[in-house]
Amino acid sequence: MTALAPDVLTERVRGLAPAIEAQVSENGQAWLLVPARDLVLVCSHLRDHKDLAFDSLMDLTGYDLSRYPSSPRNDAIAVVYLLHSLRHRHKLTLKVYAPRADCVVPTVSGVWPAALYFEREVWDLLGVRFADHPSLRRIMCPDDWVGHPLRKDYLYPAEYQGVSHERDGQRFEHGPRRVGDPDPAPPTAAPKGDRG
Amino acid sequence: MTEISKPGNRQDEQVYLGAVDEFLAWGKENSLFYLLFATACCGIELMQTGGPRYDVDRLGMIPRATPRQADLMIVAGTITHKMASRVRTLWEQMTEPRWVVSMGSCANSGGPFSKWAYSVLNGVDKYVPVDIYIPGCPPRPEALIDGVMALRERVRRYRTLGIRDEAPHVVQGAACEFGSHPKKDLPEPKLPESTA
Repeated sequence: MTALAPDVLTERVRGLAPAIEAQVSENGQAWLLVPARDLVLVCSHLRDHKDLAFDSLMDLTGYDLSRYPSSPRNDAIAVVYLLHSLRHRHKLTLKVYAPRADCVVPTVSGVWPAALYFEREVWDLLGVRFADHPSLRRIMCPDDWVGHPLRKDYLYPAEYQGVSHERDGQRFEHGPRRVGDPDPAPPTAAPKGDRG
Repeated sequence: MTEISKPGNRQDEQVYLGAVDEFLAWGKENSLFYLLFATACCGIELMQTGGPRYDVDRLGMIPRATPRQADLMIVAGTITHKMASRVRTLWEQMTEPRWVVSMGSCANSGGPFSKWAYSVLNGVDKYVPVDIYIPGCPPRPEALIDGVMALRERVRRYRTLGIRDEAPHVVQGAACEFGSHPKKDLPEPKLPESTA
């Protein structure tokens, strides 16, 4: 068992494929930006190489980069893979940016079967399609739900199956934007915590 | 009901005279079996109420694990849009006469989720007719027992054989089978409303 330090880990994975960005974050954790087309290749290597041996996918989640307007990739949805090696006890974060216009990322369920449910969750809440996923259905929202709620431009439904969201006609001030609402005024300042 | 001691008979033999309806209502009032249906922290208070300290058994209330044996559904907790059709199904599986207690802010009106949650139903009374609303977040067992006592008043006035008003109860949502939603074709559900 040899746990690799974050800086050693980034050096080891940098050469796996062209266009990989490997960095150590401010809080000392190794992370890796992988282009979507190389993802399965990189993941297989991370799992199978004897010094890396990332045998466990701890979590697979995502976030909407349009929350950060100054980011160069504010047109993208980020998919985040949190890997852990039970053999070596080291960790690595993988990130893939999927542009909103063509939001497709290859599935890693062939590498880690745990990804099957995680990817359904990311599809449900963020609308990232995972190519070659065997059963990419919604997992939390009902099957006939419209939209992907964790996208920052998500419009809240005014009703579901004919049942209104309003109670006795009550509307909340500064509440969420719902389907049918007028367009909002453009934001005047970038939100706090804008770090891309 | 009037208690009549029959002179000349054995001392312990007693005869009660009264209307059949009153007798049936008396029986129902003192044997309100409730469906165990807890979806959130209100369920913890519901369990407390059934526990030894508050001991709701002394009111003849015994939890049932199936709606077919239950007279009363205590909706204890947040109901999401996905859950709502299941609540309706459970309510329809209960035998009449049936009563519903909405326990806590979430079941009453969506509570803290009513503004920003896209997935939470703003009040369970949009799907099932509610007899008693209990405020609180969550209500203490005393509040639940108070609501039950108010419900018992209502049950006492219920007439099984006598004429009662069939006032239609307006419910926004209605029956949903799993995977299909034929609710708009169904007639408006009716609650056997008790007469005073």
